[in-house]
Amino acid sequence: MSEQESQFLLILFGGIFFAFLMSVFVVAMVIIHRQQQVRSREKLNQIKVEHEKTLLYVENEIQQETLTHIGRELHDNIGQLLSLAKISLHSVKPERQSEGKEYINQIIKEVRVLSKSLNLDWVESVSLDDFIQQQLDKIQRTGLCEVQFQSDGSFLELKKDQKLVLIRVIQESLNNALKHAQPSKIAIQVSQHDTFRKIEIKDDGKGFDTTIQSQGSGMYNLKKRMESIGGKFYLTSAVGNGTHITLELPF
Amino acid sequence: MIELNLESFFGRMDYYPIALIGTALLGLFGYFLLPKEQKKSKAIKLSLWIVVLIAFYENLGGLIVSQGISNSWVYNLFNSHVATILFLLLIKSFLKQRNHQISINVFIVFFLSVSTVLHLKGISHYNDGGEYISFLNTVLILCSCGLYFYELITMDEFLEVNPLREFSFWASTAILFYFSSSFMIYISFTYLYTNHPDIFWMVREIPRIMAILCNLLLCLSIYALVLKAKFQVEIIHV
Repeated sequence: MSEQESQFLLILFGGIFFAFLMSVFVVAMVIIHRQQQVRSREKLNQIKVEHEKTLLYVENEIQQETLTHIGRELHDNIGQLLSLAKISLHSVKPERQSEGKEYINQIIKEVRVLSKSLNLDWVESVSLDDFIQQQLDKIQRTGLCEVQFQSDGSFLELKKDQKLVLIRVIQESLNNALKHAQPSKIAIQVSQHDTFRKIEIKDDGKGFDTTIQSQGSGMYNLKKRMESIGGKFYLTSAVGNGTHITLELPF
Repeated sequence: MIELNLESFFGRMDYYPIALIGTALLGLFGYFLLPKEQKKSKAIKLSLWIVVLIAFYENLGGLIVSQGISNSWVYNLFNSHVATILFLLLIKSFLKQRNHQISINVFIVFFLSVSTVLHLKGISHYNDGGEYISFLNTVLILCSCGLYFYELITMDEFLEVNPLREFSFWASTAILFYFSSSFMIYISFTYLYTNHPDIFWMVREIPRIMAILCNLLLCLSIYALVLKAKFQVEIIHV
């Protein structure tokens, strides 16, 4: 083989080897891309499943709360009204009997209202601002503490799943405040920023040391739930200085 | 005034300049068929510029050499500098991350600075084989393609699409092959031309064929959009 031929072969094989290396690189990139794609899809599916689980859990919790409320209403309100109706209808006096009929009408109205709260359709019909106002009114009626509510209406438009989770997180935050903090005032403020809107729940109760690991998983669950709808949950508290919870949700 | 010997120019003309003129004309025709919105696409504009520029300087080089004048400065200026910068900008248009786009700008500034220094110091001459500049621009193009492939396997935006249906993937692959194969030839051009002219004429075909393939692919990207606009089918994403 002449020198010229061997040099030509060297260049040819060098070129082929180089092209082979490049091809391997590109094919490797495509294979890695496919693998990453599969991983990314699996991760997305997992997030979706977790989100659905959270929603189901939240729906169950709301139904449990509703059943407890209905039980209380049946015992404290409708039960009392039925007893009064029974006594009035057993009376021989016509005015007492017409009173009894009035009680029956009132019972029918109360049962209608209660039956509506048995399914979750009320979540669709009530706005988040209305829900917060209802919860605060309930607290106010108990006389346990003063309440304050300010809103710029940033949460009036929400998807059903977002509304369900927010309702549950707000309910849980208020329950925690009443159960553990014994506040004299609870204030809720709804406002918006450039890229997100937020709900701030403040109380002036006992507060707690956030650095001490809690026994329960309540706060962790609330954080996870907010994350499941793309939101954020922040909590600041100090002993004697009350608690400040912020729920953020992007637009 | 120098009289142009067009007969010699046309006599030397082979498939290469004709294919390049063909792709440039095809590209221009396709570009004018595109809807207004698509014409604004950076990647499409750069593809067209590259196709037209390569056709222009290859024919200019052919014309100059046919007059018996050295044409190395044409390749040094247009191929090693202008086309490289356009290719870098094309890769930059594919990138999504801001810091990667800034890296391409840094590459361009670095490349021009080093080239200026090499020319001012006399290490490179505008009419030589341009080995140092070829080495530098190939390294920068390979790094830029590396940035693109890195984004391809790490970014969520790319993970949602099929790379085999992405124009950016095929363009980056073609650029990678074009520059890496051409580089091997360019750095040995002077040696082969001086010592082994037979081998020189053979291996010279490699960058020529790669250039035609690269231009065809860039043209295809324009026509993919034309077809997509006409038939509303998804062929290639830009």
